Amino acid sequence: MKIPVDVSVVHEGERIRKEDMYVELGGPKVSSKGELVRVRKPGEIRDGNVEVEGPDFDKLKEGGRYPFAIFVEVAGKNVEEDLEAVIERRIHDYCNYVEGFMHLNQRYDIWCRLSKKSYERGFNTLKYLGQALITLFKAELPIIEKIQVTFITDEKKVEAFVNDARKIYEARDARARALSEEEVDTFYGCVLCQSFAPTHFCVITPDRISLCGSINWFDGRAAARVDPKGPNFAIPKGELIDEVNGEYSGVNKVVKERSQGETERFYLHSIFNFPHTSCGCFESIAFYIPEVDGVGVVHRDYIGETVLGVPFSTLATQTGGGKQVEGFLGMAIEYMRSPKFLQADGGWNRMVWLPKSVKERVIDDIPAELRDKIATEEDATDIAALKGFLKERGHPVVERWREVEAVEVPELEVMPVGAPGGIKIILQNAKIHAEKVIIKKIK
Amino acid sequence: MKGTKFKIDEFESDLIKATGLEITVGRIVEEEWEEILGPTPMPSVTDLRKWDFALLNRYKPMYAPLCDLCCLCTYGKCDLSDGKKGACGIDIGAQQGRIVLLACCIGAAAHGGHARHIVEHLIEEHGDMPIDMGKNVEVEAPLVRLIAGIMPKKLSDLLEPLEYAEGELMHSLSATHTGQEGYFTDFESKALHVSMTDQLLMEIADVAQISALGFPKGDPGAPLVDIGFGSIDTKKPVILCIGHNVVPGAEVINYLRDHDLYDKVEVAGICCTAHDLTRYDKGAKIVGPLSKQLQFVRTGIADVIIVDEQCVRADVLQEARKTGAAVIATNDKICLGLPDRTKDSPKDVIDNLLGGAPGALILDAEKVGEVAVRTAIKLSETRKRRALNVVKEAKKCIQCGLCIRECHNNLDIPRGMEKAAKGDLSLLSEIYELCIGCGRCENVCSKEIPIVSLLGGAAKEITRKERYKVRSGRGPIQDTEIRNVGSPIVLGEIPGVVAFVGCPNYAGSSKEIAEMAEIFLSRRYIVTTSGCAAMDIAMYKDEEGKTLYEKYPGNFDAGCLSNVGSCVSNAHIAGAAIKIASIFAHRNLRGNYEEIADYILNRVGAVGVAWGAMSQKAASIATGFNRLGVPVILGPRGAKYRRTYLGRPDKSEDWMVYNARTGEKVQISPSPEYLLYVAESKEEAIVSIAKNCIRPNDTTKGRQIKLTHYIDLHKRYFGKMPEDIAMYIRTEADIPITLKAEIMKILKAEKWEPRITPDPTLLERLCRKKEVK
Amino acid sequence: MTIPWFSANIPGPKQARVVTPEIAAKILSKVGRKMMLCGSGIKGQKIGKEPIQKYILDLSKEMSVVVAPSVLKDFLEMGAEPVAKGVVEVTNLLRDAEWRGFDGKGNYDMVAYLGFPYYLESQMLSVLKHFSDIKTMSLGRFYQPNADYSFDNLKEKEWEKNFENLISLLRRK
Ligand code: SF4
Ligand code: SF4
Ligand code: SF4
Ligand code: SF4
Repeated sequence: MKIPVDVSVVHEGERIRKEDMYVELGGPKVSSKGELVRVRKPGEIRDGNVEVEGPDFDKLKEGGRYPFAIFVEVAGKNVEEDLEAVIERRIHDYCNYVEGFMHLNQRYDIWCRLSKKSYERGFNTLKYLGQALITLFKAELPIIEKIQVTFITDEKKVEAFVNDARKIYEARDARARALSEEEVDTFYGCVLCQSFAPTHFCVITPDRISLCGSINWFDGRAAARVDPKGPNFAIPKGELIDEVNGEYSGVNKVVKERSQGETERFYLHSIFNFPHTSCGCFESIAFYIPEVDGVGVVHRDYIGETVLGVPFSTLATQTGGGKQVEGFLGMAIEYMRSPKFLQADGGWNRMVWLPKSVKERVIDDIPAELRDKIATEEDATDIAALKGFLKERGHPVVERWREVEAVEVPELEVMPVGAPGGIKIILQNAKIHAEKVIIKKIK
Repeated sequence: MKGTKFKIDEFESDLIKATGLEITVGRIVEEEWEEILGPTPMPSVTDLRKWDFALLNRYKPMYAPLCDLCCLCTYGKCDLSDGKKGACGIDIGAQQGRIVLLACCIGAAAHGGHARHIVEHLIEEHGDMPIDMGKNVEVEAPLVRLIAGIMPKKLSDLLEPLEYAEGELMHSLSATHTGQEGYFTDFESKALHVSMTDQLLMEIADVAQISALGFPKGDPGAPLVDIGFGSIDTKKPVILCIGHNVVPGAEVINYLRDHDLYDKVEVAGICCTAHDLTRYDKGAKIVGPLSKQLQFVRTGIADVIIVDEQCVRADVLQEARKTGAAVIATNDKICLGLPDRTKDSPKDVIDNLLGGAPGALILDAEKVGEVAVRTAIKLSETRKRRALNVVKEAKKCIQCGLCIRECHNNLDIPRGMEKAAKGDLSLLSEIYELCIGCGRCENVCSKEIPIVSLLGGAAKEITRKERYKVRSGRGPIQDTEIRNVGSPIVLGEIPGVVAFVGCPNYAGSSKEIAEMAEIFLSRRYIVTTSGCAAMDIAMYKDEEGKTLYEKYPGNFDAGCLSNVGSCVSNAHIAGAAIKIASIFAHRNLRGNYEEIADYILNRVGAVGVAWGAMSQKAASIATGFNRLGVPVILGPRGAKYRRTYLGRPDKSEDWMVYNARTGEKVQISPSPEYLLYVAESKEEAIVSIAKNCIRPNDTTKGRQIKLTHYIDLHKRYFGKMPEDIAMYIRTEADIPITLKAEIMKILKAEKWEPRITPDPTLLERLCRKKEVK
Repeated sequence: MTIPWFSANIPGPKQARVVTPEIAAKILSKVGRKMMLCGSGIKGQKIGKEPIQKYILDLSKEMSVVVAPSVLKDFLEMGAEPVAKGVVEVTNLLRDAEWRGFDGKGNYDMVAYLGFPYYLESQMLSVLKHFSDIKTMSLGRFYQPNADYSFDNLKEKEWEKNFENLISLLRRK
């Protein structure tokens, strides 16, 4: 059965307007719709099979909107339940590869359209779509040994399907939330960005999504399964060297190798001493504010100045290129949701400033007692105001100020340059001409 | 501080004993920039020669002499054909290098003169203002930092790099003198060098005018402004500005604003001055690109024509005479033989112009503003716009066919005349679409028919309705925009960056460039543009009546169309490439040209397209991009630049790089395949663009998406799978998943072997480990 | 002396010899390895009632034919698959004496150009004129001084006749 339309990434950006659509499946005007991937035992799958439950394209009325479900079942030695979500997200991409077929959103929210043009060219059954999905899944994810696809358009059946699927999504999310570094023995690395930042690489753990926010532990796991030698690979976590900082022997070993010797060790949950490196893709940056001994965060989309008086773009130049820079950490916003978020530095107790839009996004993950103690641009746009705010609200960092104030600073002895007795330079009738003398302020 | 001198007769300390010590210091600069100074701040003509040779070794110049002769000195003319040398000993190859160098010098000089004028003028008028490229632009002047090694903070800081570039220009140009440089590669190296300084000069000019004149500062949402003949309100007095230097035009706007006249007078522009006028004030109108110059002047719509510099027709005065428009020359580069009225009172000048003087030279922008406005208002009351009887004129044609032989595009004017004589103007109007407005046909017409006017007259119904939207030039690309696209590029969601730039000397329809842009926009490439190309992209609407600027956002992002601005704004496109290195790899920029160019050549999948390149400036712009490691594709007319830089994919030894991880030399795919290529047709260009976005550092996902588009476009336009596909596949993971079966078959047949993806560089010094053997 | 089609396109004293189809055929049949390059201009071109592609295919039995990629589709539709490459790229290969040719048998002795924009062809001919030993011939409608041999400036119909004549002479021998 040859698919009558082209299947290629080049159709990904294609949008099908209402006037050009043959039918709409799912979408905001239809109450039941959804998609799901489940892992099965090999014996449970008729490989390559596509079923359509309910009326197919040729039985649907042109211009109509219908309930719709996509159910993909897969099996394979290396395919485990943990990968279902990753595989499921591919449905969106693959559907869009099909010329004249549009797929938006995911899970119980999907919205698809078939174009008139493609229908006229003979794309008159969902079987073609199933066939495309099967071919693409197998080509990109060879760990899938067997696969079958079921499309449902029958209203009752879609409803039942979505009810069941919701339970599975929930269970899945609960598991993802509960999964932690302690529970797994493998982390994942990503070297994709080495194409631009040759010594940077990301360590991805269940408690730490990649700094670009694009790859979580499950994604890393799936990619490493598919191509262990590829840009995403397994890192045996090794021994836990330092629980608070999040230092692991296995991670350090790989850090040395993959950073081309540039970096020796990573603290996965600190911005001090040996913070994780960054390329340039980080969604946000955490920065140390010495004046209040706290940490601020600003994200890429924040226009305007941070509490330090400089915008994101200025702070962002402090780190990058796979360099380890103390006091600055490029990270994903999602990392703020991690229970281990900068735990070595005090986590949320150390967080003093972040843009309002980020605060709103992660508000549920901020400990309730701290929510009103962390400043945004509405509360403070400079250090003085920030100090006042923190004091007024009783932010935990204020405690730290007292500690610091109590410590006596010993006097420092400055060593003179060129110790006496060693060498002596004699200049006789010398002429020195400097084209340009540069005076730098020493900080 | 400048010029300090110390003298120490005798001095003794524990460390130093000095007698008769004299220390002189040229300049003392206080500096906060902590970045380490790289190896080549303000490189001399030969400092980067090694890098040039590395490029020239892979991308060997192919010369196509436009003329076999040389007539540069009194030994000549010398005939250099058949291997003969000139009286000075030069051969035809070196002579081509020489001419190319000359062109690049002219181009750089044009931008340099412009930059010098604008920086000095702005400091004088506005004071030594701080350099401000807006929020989210951390690296304010990437080229100044990279090439000159300084971080400019105020306008006067631009004077030092400016002076540097002027010096390099002098050295480079001097090499073209008889009896100087004698070998083609060294001519090329100098051409690359002077074109690098050309980029610097463009940046200086634009950074200065953005800072001082309040242009949009890296704003993706810069306003949509009007472009097209039809956008000009002909009921009002019209002032037309032609050229590239916005200063006099800006003064016109100032005068209008100050005198509450802005809604009573139309200010319109042609060429880059037009772009910059809209950046100055969004109410200014753009008539169109250079190709519309003669056409528009002929319409007689303009009451006053202000010319500044570059790309102005040399016969503008004669042309203006025909319509009764007054010409004001405003710049030392273009004086047109006019009397210098700079010191005269505006009233005298105005009276003189109203009394029938063809024009005036006024080298004081503020005065230009006043004279132009007052003259235009008066002239518009008295001047009559003559209507042309196309049919009557066409009847004069005797079908001699001389015109067609002068026309670049072989346009069939005689047949158009024949039809027009019978009252059918359709063919002339079609010809208008393909005409680049050069006027050469008229020069030879046996019956002295004003052919260009006839074309315009025939297309009048269409042009009157020509009203489009173009996004005003936004200036630099924000750092955050560059950060935004990092991850989608490595994850294989963005296939590359395509820049449509340059003049409108097209071999086909001017619509081709918009068609090309849309192909890459719809495929989610990052598309950016500048200059006349940015205008032609605007002059095209889809079925819904929308221009590409209305359809695609102005960001530097996938599927977005960013217009950086005028010709000098091209520097921001180079700047974006440079910033990738500083942002992602944290490479130092300061005086570190070679390393950054190497980074860009090997990693940044960007391609420049100058589809209608005409000028010497376009030659230096392209050559400047080439030195920085960015390939450029020219339209067929580009062959007349005499030189292309072409790689040889069939020679595997040409495609070796160091793997910086190990120090080993490794094989890469032939990418980019060219540095400077001439495509015969738009189809060839389109496929070439997609292919030349490939880089040796591509991640497998990145390579997949790039190949997907290359293959898809190749199949679409050429009807089959490209034959060189195996060369571009390093591992199976590079194969686009939808084409796996098809490509595996090819690989098998070609006995393909997998290769590694290196950390690619041409510079041995950047290797972390040296090869151990 | 014949004046170039673009009258300003006078390269110097060394200019192409104007040839008739008879002489062109004679010259072409004498050289060993020869190639014809066909540009985008052949699109839609007819010789009498037949598409020019048919003639070109005929000719491909006598010499290598390389076409501009933008016209490849026309040939594929006719069941033929000539080499397709941009003219600048091919000319670059040709100027290298060491190049092995598309069939691996070495570079060519003579190359004929057909159907390119006038100035582009002129420039490509100039490359080979100065930087190779390859002889060149221009088979288009307009006189190309940078070639070794060129048709004269011709009217459409004259040229069609010339071209047809040339092919049949070459095919006959
Ligand atoms: S930022 Fe994202 S893509 Fe880049 S290395 Fe880290 S995980 Fe990979
Ligand atoms: S510069 Fe050289 S080649 Fe040119 S005319 Fe003088 S001697 Fe002849
Ligand atoms: S003005 Fe137009 S028609 Fe006349 S020669 Fe130039 S391009 Fe051809
Ligand atoms: S040159 Fe003038 S007279 Fe001759 S064909 Fe052209 S338009 Fe007619």
